[in-house]
Amino acid sequence: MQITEYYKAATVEDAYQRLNLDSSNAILGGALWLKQTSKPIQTAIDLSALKLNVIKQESAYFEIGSMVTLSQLYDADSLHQMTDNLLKESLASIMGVAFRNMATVGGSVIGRFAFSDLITPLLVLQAELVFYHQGQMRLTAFLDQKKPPKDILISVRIPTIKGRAFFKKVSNTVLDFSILNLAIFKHESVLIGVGARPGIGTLAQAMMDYLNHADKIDETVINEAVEIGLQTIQLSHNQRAQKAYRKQVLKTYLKRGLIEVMNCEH
Amino acid sequence: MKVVNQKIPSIDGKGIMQGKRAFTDDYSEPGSLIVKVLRSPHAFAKITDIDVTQAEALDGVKLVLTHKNVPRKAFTRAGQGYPEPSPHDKFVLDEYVRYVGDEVACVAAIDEETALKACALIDVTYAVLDPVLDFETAYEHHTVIHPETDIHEMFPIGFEPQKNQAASYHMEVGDTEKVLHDSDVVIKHSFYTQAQAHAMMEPHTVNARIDIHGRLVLYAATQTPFHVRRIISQALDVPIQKIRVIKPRVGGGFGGKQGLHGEMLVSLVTLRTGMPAKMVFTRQEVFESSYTRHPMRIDMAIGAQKNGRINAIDCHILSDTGAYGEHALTVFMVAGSKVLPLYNKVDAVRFHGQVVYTNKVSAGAYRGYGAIQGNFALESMIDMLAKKLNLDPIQLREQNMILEGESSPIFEIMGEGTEGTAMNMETCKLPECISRGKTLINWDAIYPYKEIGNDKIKSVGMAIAMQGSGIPYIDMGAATIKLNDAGFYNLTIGATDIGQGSDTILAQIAAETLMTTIDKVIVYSSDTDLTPFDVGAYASSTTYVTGNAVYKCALAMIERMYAAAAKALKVHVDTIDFDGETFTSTDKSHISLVDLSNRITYSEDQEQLTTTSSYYGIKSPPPFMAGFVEIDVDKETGEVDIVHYVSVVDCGVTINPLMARGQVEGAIVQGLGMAMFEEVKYSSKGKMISNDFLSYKIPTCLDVQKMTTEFIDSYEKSGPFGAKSVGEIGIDTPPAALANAISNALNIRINTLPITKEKIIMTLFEKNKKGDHHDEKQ
Amino acid sequence: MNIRLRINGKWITFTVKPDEFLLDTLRNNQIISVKKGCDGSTCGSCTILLNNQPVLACSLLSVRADESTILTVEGHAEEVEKIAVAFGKEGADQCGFCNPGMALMIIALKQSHKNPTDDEIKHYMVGNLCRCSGYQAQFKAIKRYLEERL
Repeated sequence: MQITEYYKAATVEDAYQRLNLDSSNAILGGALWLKQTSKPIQTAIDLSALKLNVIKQESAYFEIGSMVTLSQLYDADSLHQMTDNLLKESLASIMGVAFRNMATVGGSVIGRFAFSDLITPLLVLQAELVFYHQGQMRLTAFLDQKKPPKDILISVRIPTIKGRAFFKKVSNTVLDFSILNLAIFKHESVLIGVGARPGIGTLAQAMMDYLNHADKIDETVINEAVEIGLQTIQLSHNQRAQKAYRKQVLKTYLKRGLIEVMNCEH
Repeated sequence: MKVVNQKIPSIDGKGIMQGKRAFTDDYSEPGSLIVKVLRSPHAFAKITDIDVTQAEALDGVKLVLTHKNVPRKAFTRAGQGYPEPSPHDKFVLDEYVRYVGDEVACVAAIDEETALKACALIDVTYAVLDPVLDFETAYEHHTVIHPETDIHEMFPIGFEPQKNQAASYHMEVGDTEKVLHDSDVVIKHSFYTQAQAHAMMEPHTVNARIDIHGRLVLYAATQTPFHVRRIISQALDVPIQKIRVIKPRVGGGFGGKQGLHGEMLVSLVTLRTGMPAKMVFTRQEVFESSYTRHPMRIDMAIGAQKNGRINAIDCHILSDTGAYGEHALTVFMVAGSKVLPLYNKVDAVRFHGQVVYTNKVSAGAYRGYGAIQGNFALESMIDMLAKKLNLDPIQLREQNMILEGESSPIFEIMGEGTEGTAMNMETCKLPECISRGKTLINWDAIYPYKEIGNDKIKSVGMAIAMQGSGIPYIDMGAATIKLNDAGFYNLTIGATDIGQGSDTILAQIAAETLMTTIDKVIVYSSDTDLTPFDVGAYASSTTYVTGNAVYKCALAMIERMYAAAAKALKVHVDTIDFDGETFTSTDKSHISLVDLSNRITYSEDQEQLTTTSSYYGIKSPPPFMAGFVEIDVDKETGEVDIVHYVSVVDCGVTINPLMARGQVEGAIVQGLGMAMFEEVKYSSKGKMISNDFLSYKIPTCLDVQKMTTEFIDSYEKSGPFGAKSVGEIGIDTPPAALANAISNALNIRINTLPITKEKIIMTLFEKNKKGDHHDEKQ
Repeated sequence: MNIRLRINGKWITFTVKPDEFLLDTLRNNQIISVKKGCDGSTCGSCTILLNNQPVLACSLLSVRADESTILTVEGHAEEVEKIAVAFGKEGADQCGFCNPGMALMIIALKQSHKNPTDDEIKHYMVGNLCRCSGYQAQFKAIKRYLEERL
């Protein structure tokens, strides 16, 4: 890890210019995993003077500034009320309090960490990313990009939709990265996200389509949906678990989660 | 008793929490040279060329060491009794590198940045060799890990490096094969225990300087300062009187600091440059370049009668010592000697096997020291036998286990690297431990399991264990007590407090004996110049061995004080009584300790009262315990909640019940870590991939819900105030207790640690695939 | 670069490199109560209070802390003393390497939670690893401190 120059940006435009001045310039998020990066950074650009550490509630969405810390987000009670504590539960399982006091929402999203316990719930909440230059973009679209844009993430928007939620993280010790995480959000339709597959978080589209077009939701339908999920959600193995175990965990919690949020009699 | 067996707070806990200068790195001299090590990227290679010109030329670099410019004299890093039962198979630096992380070269520079830059500038040419990564194929492998001829054993330990064998051993009582053959039932199974990392919070740390007399003075985070002094002297050819090793507070060891890590290179840097130097291992180095627990394969057979009588136990072990043979033989032997005597009524018992080298991180001492490995196998086997015989596993234990007043021939046959010492169990409260534990865990209501809904099963499992209290006739501890004016004492000990609280409990023993309060006993440990000898913190020895030395020393001090009081009162010594504060003669004349100490310091009959006593055990009374675990297991995902862990321990009288509890609970959680989560993992090329706290998971405060720890009334006559040891006993039961609880819950048996959620599910799948639906619980 | 930190009530100016982390800045300037356990955001031994919030000094670039208020255990002497007493009474002290960081977490816990439940206490402390204690005695000590049974 090496930083040649530290630069505290005065405006977003200033930060954007700096970032694009040199390919080895980078934006600082919470910097928690900075030591683990091997690529030297020419200029590390700090956004902390740009007042991006604010959560605003608009009529159509919550706007979470990219420099909002995970602890700030954890304390955003009205957001959690709306989302049935989905984000709160996922945040509670991410490292410790001191860590969350430093880690930023922007860093967590831009890092596109495959193990992320935050991206999965953001997916099912239909989060949108607001970039300085490229404007608004769906989180799903951002994750689909091969390379993240050399742009400044201003905020993450979560549409004001009230719903019921389910979150589950399965890990070795409580503090470990997920072997698998699962988020379900149900309002008029249902959204299902799976992360740490070990690939990055993704929406279970085929499964969602099936459920959202079903006439009624009962256990048979849920079982069928889970089967579709298992066939369409890509799983693999890594140091933390084999594919077969991930599949079993996914199967179990998809079913349990759906039964819970769908208010379905078991 | 007023001080002993009392809940006295740690004497240094407050200062440490306040952040006072306490740990090794806190004592490094500002401006010390920073010592960094270039480490091997290969699991096995020969350095064919090493060019340090560029590194040496870098501004700020003071010294570069390679195998070409360091002394070559084989030694062992293991800090243990001398002559060591570990092979002398290590060099300061060598032309061979034997694991990824092994030392290639060493740089001392004015700052860390320069030192790291210089390491990168060293040009090494390696002849990469075929490594041995699977310990089951290591013996007589075509790759010889130690081909050099200038290495040796100190006495016969079965050292055959040309066959990759670091040590071997065989012992047998009775005719095991025959007794097994004649038994009603015989069960045979193999068990695998993994490498576990010590993961103490303070990394390995050392710093050095040359003092005014030209002597080398080290501060070292070590469990064995006196062994460090001896080994440095021998390996670097420095007269031992020119070396001083100071051990300040150590931030955890668990055996990981029972050996030399940075000490050798930092010493050499300071000796060569004359400048102060320091080294703090990075967390990656702690994982990749210190020690792990010895992984083992344990093949066990038990023969028994249908009525549950155990006739014979046969135990064969293959142990993996990694690149160097530290503690190779002794850890291996303890897997038998502190495990097999649990069932002492057998007609025959055999223990044999070998310890092999591999191209992995060296294994070393680790709390439990073989006993946790052996216990996992034996205590799993007992439950398996119970199931086979359709007997209650607790009754089966009670029927066969060692009891008070009994012995086992193993004690006499097996010591640590040598012959052992015969002994009877003067104290053994296993029956009480089991019965109390059963109540505390609510065994009868849960055993073997209960469905609790939502695909969850509640179950219980248990195991019993024993350990030792020091190594008889080898481990020696000593204490010096000095009486000061105003009547307070200094207690100096070579024993090393590494967090277990030995400074506090030794002060308690001194204060109790001297009939004073703990604030009147000022403790200092340990410093090879100032404190008497002690082997150090290992083998569960400090309370028993050093505690006895402190007790003897305090008695000797009382005797000296009586004599001084008799002189002052001008009466015969036999007429005097002392209550801790005042000496009173039968003729009513009296003198207070304060006045007496002032008198002999300043005014009349001046003399400095100092006593030194030492102690070595003539036996090693084992502490015993019963460990019970209650789990909730999810049969769909294998997730296990540790709902409750009950430990009932017989460690004699607890010198400090609070600290004894802390020792047990800390060890239980470390044992649960080994049972459930922790595993040192390597890539297919031999690179450790679990080299930080992200990839190597130790338990957090959320991973164990509740613990209950109790001590059974017990008084060990040979121990100080009735005490036995308590440092290691806690770690032994969790693996088997958990495996047994899983078996009770799911009717599956997992013989390979750690028992992860994934392993549980995969084993269940395997069982279902085989269509093995019959319920063994019937 | 020069930065100015208010450490335990006293403004101090440091010259730091752009890639220097606060843990090294503090320890190199003899503020040794802050411990280096993992140097990688994972153990909690280096916890300090930055503008009254617990953070990991090992992962905070020193330049980012410029003009901040920093408290280590020395800056909270009274509370730390109480915590130390509670730890002593429960036998929660072992090697103590993680204790300064843990003490600051406990102070932050008290400031942010009025009457924390057992579960809240554990979840708040989960980032602070301890290899010695098994956590049970510490948990009892934290409760003792919060309930002021000293």
